[in-house]
Amino acid sequence: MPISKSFSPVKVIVLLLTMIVLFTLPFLVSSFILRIATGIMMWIGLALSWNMLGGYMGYISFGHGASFGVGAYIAGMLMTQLHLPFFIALIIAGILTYIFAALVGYPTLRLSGSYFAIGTWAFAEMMRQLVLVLSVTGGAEGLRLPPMLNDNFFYFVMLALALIVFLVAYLFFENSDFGLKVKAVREEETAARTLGLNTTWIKNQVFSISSMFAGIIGGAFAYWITFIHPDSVLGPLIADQMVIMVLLGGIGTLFGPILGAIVLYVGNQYMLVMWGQSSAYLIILGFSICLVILFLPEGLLSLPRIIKRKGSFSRLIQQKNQVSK
Amino acid sequence: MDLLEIKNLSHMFGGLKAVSSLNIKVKAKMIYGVIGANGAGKTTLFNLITGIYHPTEGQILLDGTSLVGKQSFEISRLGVARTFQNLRLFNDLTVVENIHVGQIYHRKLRKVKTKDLKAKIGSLLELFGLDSRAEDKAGNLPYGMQRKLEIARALATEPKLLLLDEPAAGMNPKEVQGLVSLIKEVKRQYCDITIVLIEHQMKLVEGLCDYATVMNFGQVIANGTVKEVQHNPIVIKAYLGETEVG
Repeated sequence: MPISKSFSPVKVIVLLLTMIVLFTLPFLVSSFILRIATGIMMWIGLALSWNMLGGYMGYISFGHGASFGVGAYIAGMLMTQLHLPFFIALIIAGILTYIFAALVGYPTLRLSGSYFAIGTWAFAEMMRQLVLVLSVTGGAEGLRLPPMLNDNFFYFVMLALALIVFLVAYLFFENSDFGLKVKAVREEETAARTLGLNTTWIKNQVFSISSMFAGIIGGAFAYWITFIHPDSVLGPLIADQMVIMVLLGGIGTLFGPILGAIVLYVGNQYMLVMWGQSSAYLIILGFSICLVILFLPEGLLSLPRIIKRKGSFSRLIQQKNQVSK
Repeated sequence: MDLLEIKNLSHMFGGLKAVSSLNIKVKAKMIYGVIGANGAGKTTLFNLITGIYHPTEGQILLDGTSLVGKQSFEISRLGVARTFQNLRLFNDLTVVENIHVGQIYHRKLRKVKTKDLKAKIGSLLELFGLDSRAEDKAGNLPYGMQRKLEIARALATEPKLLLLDEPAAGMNPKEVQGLVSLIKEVKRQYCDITIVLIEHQMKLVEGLCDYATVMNFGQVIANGTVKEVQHNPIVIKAYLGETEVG
């Protein structure tokens, strides 16, 4: 049952203020901060798209980076070789990534649990090797896109993409029959089938839609960075970071991936500024994910609730002690 | 008129014949019991009817339509709903959401209004005594209520044929009594429904079923009314053994 959440005045004001800040940000901050904000928007979009598959449907994919990279390469090749304008290249990249994902999903979605994770990871690795040896993609030389040096433009592109992914997650995964079907697949696939749900179709749709968004964001990233290389857009770290962001913030929730993306990306950039390119980031990343899984399995989003519960618990003990006195 | 007709059905797991040359006819609107010891092939039979397994041989007809080769969701849309021996609820969804998942396809099929669907959920909650827990997560319900919720979820698909796989498993005698009257009430409210249930406990079968089939090692060893079946010498032999223990 789609739960109709009422909008309280406080929520509306918070929402409006957030929107105002988001849309006026380029005129308020330095270009350095703006570039970080652009990166945050990009990762919010990616984490939200991964969450559709991993969070709502429970299919943990380590191959989502491949969709990002495929989108980046398709958009890049369309712009350099066919000289298509950016937005048209972006739309085509989205459509082609969708089709690509539907084909990949057909065999891999028959797997489940860790087998699915390994299968998708292997597929992503295959794509990286393929792009590395092909000549149309520029191989190990990488691909250079026509430069467009306008920070504001890219900020608004990434903001728009993040908002679209957020709206899709909110409308179709949180508050609709489709979202309920997807969650039913996560909870009990066999039971869902015996209740009339075509789970094969649902799984393929979710996989393709979430991959399409990753592909579109990848295309925008390629134009923003102007130089892409198999290791920079198809490396395993892209998918790993999406997974970690979602786990860190709260898997299967609407705001968890956003929170996780902000915390992780800002932390990453901070370390980059303080220590330069350092592998310490990876060590801290690994360590923090261990801590989250051990002590906060529902992510940072559950922190206030846990603190509150602990608080009420100790109050309960106090009351009990007073009564016994 | 036979609602469900199973002809010469066989299913192999490797070299093991779990179901062998089974013939069953279930008339519409009756409550039909399938009885048998563990491993007799009862649950396999349900899995074959609902398309979770595909039979090695034989025919399954629902109202004359063949179910063999169809997928689970297609069979469900033809009007077959089931519960599972080991509960398969959507544990992280609420009670209401669990029931609503059962309705999703049904709504599209018959263009029912949302208001009517909500009323339907309300009446199911009331019938199964779940109204006070409607917004709780299914996984947090006590065991007996989870069993009831699974039946409610299956009924939400408005089935012609309801298959109950050991609905009383793990229940104490008092709860079994409650279940018997609950199933009778379901039958009263959904008069067109046909129920097939798998059961160990004779008490439940006696109290509910019009007709019963006894299975042993994948084969039907007796058919008939519950009384007939209970006094069938082959059934007694299969259940109690033949040699006297001195």
